[in-house]
Parts: sequence; structure tokens; C-alpha cells
Amino acid sequence: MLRRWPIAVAATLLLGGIAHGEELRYTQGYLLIDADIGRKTVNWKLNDEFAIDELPIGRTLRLVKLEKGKYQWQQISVPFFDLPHLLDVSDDSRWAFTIEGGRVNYVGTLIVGEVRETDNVDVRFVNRLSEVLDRFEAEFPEEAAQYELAYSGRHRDDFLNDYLASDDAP
Amino acid sequence: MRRSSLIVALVLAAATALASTAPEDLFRPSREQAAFLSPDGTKLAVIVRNDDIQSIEVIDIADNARREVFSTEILKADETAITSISWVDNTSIMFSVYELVEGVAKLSDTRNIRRILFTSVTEPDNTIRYLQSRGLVLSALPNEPDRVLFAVSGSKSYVYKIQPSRLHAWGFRRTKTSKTDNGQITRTNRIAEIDGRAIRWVADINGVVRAVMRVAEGGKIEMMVRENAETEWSSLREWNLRAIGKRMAKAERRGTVEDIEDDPENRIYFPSAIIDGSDEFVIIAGKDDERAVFRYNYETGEKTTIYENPDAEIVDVSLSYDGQAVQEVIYYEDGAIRYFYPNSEYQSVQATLSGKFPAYSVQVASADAAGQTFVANLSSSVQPGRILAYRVATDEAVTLYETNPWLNETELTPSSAASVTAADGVVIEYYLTQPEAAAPVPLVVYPHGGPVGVRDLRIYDPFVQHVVAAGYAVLQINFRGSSGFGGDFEESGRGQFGVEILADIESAIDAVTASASIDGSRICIVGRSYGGYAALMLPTRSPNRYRCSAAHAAPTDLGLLVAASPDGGRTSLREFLVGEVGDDEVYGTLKAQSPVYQAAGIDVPVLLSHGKTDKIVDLEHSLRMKLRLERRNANVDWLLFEEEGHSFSEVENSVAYSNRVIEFLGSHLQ
Repeated sequence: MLRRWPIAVAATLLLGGIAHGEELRYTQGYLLIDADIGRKTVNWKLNDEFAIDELPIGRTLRLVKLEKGKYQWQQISVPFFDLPHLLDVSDDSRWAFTIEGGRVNYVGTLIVGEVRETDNVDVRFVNRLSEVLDRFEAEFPEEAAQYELAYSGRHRDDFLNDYLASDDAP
Repeated sequence: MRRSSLIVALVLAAATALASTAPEDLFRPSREQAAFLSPDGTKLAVIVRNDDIQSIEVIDIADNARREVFSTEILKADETAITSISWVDNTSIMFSVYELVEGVAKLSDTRNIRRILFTSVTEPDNTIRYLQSRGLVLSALPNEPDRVLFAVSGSKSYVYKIQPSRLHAWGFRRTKTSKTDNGQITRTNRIAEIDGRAIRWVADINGVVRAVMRVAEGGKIEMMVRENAETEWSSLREWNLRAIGKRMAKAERRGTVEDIEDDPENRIYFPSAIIDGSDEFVIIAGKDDERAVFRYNYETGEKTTIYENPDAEIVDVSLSYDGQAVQEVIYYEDGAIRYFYPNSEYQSVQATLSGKFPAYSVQVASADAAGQTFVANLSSSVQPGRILAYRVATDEAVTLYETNPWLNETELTPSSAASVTAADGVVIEYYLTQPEAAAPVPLVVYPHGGPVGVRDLRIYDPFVQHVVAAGYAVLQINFRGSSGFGGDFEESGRGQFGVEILADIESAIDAVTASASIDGSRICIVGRSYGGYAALMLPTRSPNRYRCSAAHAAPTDLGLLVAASPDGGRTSLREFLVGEVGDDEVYGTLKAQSPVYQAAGIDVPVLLSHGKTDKIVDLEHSLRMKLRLERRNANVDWLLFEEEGHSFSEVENSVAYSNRVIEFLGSHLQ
């Protein structure tokens, strides 16, 4: 679940992504959700109003409208058999992000994988911005044409801006 | 007590085999991976690997006859690994085996199981016996055959004396009436006990447990001793970990750590043995960033040096069978592994063998009780391991086996060591492996990873040999920050990721290309991890110097490395990274030292490669570099290893990588 401090979020707006071509209100930005799930389905919770149930095995890219503000991912659950694995990240600042209005905010990629050597599920939240670039344009061409994509995770990351502005571009 | 054993180049086994022009041969793992000499020096127990199966073979040194006494096939596990062998007495061994047991769907109950197994090496039926109880075998008892000390730790901790030959045989089917470990874990067999969790037991040469370190209440570690098995434990010293932490933090703020870190109140030494007839202990401890051996009195804090080597950083020290003397000291010199023996007989044999085999490092272990037959291991940059028996009476050295005999058919090239003084006066050691050639040969610069706390050695390296066999000289550099040259040298590398370390590499290149035998106009850089970073950054420092760059698992965006490390949950890793590359608030500096932001200056063909499951340097680093280079239509080759992490775990992937690099070099260095 995701917790947002300034403004409550309507669950109906958030579940299941968006329809293509919908305009953002001036108070809103897009959250670009990227997940690479290696085993079973995964539930990813942002807050009480918003959770992504049953992320399927494989790669998922979704756009979700959120109000501007600061957010914190809360919990990842990986149900397997009768031993659910829960990862509480509600106090972990690496899982915090900001939604800037009027743009597409990429905040990180959730990777859930198999771990053969240990009893733990391998859950990672990594910055895979360069992987997301082409896929975003391919899967959401209208939004890609209309809105700027930016990294909005907790840490400073100049890569995209420098890449797009690089004078060594063809 | 610590048993002396002949460890046949575990380090070399890790680096594993190398060297023929066929990379499959060069990279093929050693067959014999480690060897352990019996107390009487007449037999060698060897861990042998054949594909995925490991076994233990016992070699009779007198006639070199071999006998297999154990194979991991009997365990029926998905993956197994024999990790160590100890001799219980002269006719039986104990060994640890890890079993990876896959759980349902390979996940929920998948686990590693560590088993402690025993077997006779002389009985024909060769029964494998096992310990059911979870614990730690402390040692065998030199004066009591077929007995070992077995420790179990918990809220109360115990030491039992057990008889391995009476344990249940492997495959024994337990019934309601059968007893754990055949009834040996009993009060009768208990020879020591203490309240609290024991973290180190020490027995004297008679097998009497005389000391224990335990976790006491209130976060304290306590050292307890007793005169003999009948007397009560008494407290010798205790350390309050929290108080030590506060004192050290305070001293750090004041810059007075060195004044207080040797204070017995602040430094916890773990004892390795108790000196016979005294209250003093043998400790093997860090001293001025080196390892040294001391006699230590816990009560007074008095410390007497038994052995130290001021000229070289000691890698490891082993004690004699009774724990009373230094048996062997391992250190590095000119990039080679060296061995020192305080005992004059060993010294004499080592000198003799060094005379017979001058190109090798000679490791000696005692043989028969009469001191007439010795076992030795020879190793070098072209020999992963050759084990021989040396007979003093006849001055005869007989090879028992070679760990990689298939390399004998291949011409391998030895490495040489040299050093260069950097502009600021720091001396940098480097190694050059150069093929015989009539004309000057191209140079491949191959910086190591790390960069801090890691080093290169002049040992058998399959990748180096493969590149040299293709006709290139290979340069390896122990730039500042490398381990093995003292603490100051290692510390001097911190924060120098993209500055002085790169300058050191170029200083070594300058020195090597001054030779007429190296073609300084044909240089490529190849590296993994930090070495890959250097391979990408050096062309930006010296734009016209290099012909090509191959970077594997390279950190290319230092800001990303520091701030978004894939193992982000581990604070210690983050702190480590900040310490390595500098303060993450200095983002501009990190950008200036990051290949992705300096891509415009990389004007050479680049081979990028990465393991997809790398958790040290995330795949994103190479993907970013690829994007940046492709955007400017640079010449970029790309190689992704789907199932590999930061290092190669599969031999075939090492071979594939090496082949691709050779092909890449061939395109740009000819």
C-alpha cells in the first residue's frame, strides 16, 4: 500500500490503471508503475486507498493518476502456498517518492525473484530508468507524446535529463 | 587447538584452472581442490571434483595409491559441496558437506543443510557416519584416537566428548527406541558446560576444556577459565560491547582511536589455543593491519609477540597440531604466495625444493613421524598446483598429482612483477604477462575490481593466459587502495575512484610501454566491476591512447551506485559505497567521474557486458552506458548473461565471455 501525506486518493481512480488519452488535472501527475515478477503473483500496497493486487508473472508497466505530493510504499506481499511473505517498507525511505503534477513520474522498478539458496523471497526496488524509456513510449504513445517522463524517486538522478539534452545526440 | 594441515591452494582453487589456448581447458576447474595431511604425515585426504560430483580420495604417500572413501552421490541432494576435512586420528577423517535441498517450487522450504560426516580411511567397508545433533566439532584429541570434542550452544552451552565410530551409519533408519547420535549426547559424555551462549571454547593439549568465551547478560562478552575439569569456572575478563562502542565513538570524534584501541578493555581477542602449563593463550590477531601471533594474558593485557613479519602483510597463520607453536605463515611477496616455516627442518626442505623448482612457491607440510618424507605443494602463475612427496634420505621428489594435469599440454606464460613510482611518490606494484614474440606486442590493461581491499596476484589466471595466448601482453596493477600493502596504502584508495587510482593505472602503462617489446600504439583496456569502470574512464583521460575498451559489470553512474544501490536495504553496503566513492551529496563530483556523463569523451569501440542478476552493480549501469553510447552512434558491442550475477558462476559463461573479449580485441588491436 501507498501512503500519501497531503491528499487522500480515491481508490476508484487508482485501481487497474487508466484509460488511454485521459487528461491529467492540474493537481495530478502520473505514476509509472514498473514491475518484473519472477514468481507467483504479488500484491503491492501504496496506502489504504491504493494497492495493486495480483501483479502477474512477467513484466508489467502501468500508468496511474495520483494527486501531487509525497508518497511512501507500504508493503509487498508475495503469497506462496500457505506461507505468505510480507515485506513492510513503510519506514524505509528508499521506498518513498514524489508525484510531480503534469508529468509521468517513474519512481523505480519492483523486482521479485526466486531465491534458491535461502528461504527469503528476493524483493528489490531498483532504478531501471533506462529500461523503461522505450517501453513507456511503446506502450503509452499518447501519454509519451503529451507528458514528460521524469525520475521521481527519492534520490537525485540526472541521467534522463542529461541523456535527452546531450549534445552528442544524433 | 588447531590442526595443521596442508591446504593445497584454496585460493588457487577459487581462481581455478587456466591455461591452454583452448579456453575450455584453461577455465576447467581443478580436479583436486584441497588436500589435508594426516597427523602422522603418511596419508593425504583430497577433495576431488568431477563435474558436479565431489568426492574424497585418500592417497597413501608411500606408494601414491588412491582410494575413494566418500562421494556426494550418496546424499542424493540437488547440489552439494564438501567444504573441509579434518583428521580425527591417523585412520579416520571428519568432513563438512553442504547440501542444497530444493523446497516446493524451489522456494519456500529450500535450504542449505550442513552435515558433519565421519569415515574410516582404512576399514574396507568404509562406513559413513554422521552427527544428527546440531553443533560444532571443536577438535580431535591428539592423545585419544577416535574421539572428538563436540559443542552445542544455546541458553546453556555444552561440550561433549564423542566417539565417531559409534555414531549412526548414513542411511540408518531411526525407530522409536533409537537414540540421537546413538546415545552419545548425554550427561555422561558432557565434559564442560556453561550458562549462556558459548562463542569460543578452548581445550588444552590433554583435551581438557579450559576456557570459554560466552555471551553474558547485558550485552557483555565474558572470558571464563578453569584450572582443570573438576574446578569451577571463574571470570577472567568481560567486555561491555555498548560501552566499548561509546568509547570508540568518542575517541573517533577526538581522533584518539589509536590511543585506546589496544586497551584490553576495548579490544576483544579470540583465543586460538592455551599455552601448556600457563594461563596465557595463543591469539592470531590483527596488528597494524597485518596478522601476527601473540601470547596473551587476558588478566593483565600483556602481549608477547610469537611471530610477526614487518616486511610483508601476513595472509594466514596456522598453529602446530597441539596449538603450541606457529606451524606455517602465508604471506605475499612480489604478487606471489609465499610460505614461511619457523621450524628449521621445514626451512631446510623448503630451501631444497626451492632449489630444485626455482620458479615455484613451495609450501611444505611435515610427513612421517621420523621426519624423512615431506609433502609439498608447488604453485606459480603457470601451475595451479603440483603436489609432491620429498624423501630426505634419497633427496628424491615424486609428484603425487597435479590439480590441472591437462594444462601440461599447453604452453603457459609466466608473469613478472615490477613497480613504478607515481607522481606523488606512491609506489605501485604491477604484473606483466607477455608472450614471446619477435615484434612488439599489443598491450591489454586489465585492472582489478574493488577497487579498495582487493588485489591482483601472480597466480594462475585463466583469463590472463587466454589473452596472452592470443598474442597480447596483459598488465595487472595493484593501484592504491589494493590490499596486501599495508593499511595506509589501502586507505589511500578511498575516495579516489575516478582520480588517483586511474592515474596509478596510467603510471604503470607508462612504465610498461617504455619497453621496446610492447607496442604502445596498440592498447586496449579490459576490466570487470571497478576494472570495467576504469576501462570506460581511461579513454576520457587520455583520448588518443587506447584502441578499445571492454567493461563487464561496470559501475557507470556513481550517483546511481551510491544512492540507488540494488541492495538498498543494507545500510552497511550504502555506507561502504559512500566511503568508497565519496560523499553522495557531492553529486556533481560523482557525475564528473561517471562514464555515463562522460560518454562524449569515450571515442573508442566499447564492449559492454553484464550479468542480469547482478546485485552489486545493477544491470542499469550497463544499460545506461549502452544508451548513451548508442545515442551518439558509437561502436558498442553488447553481451548479456541472463543467469549470472556480479561474478561468473558457470564455467561456460567464463569461457563465452573470454572468447568474446578475445574476438573484440582481435578486431581492434591487429
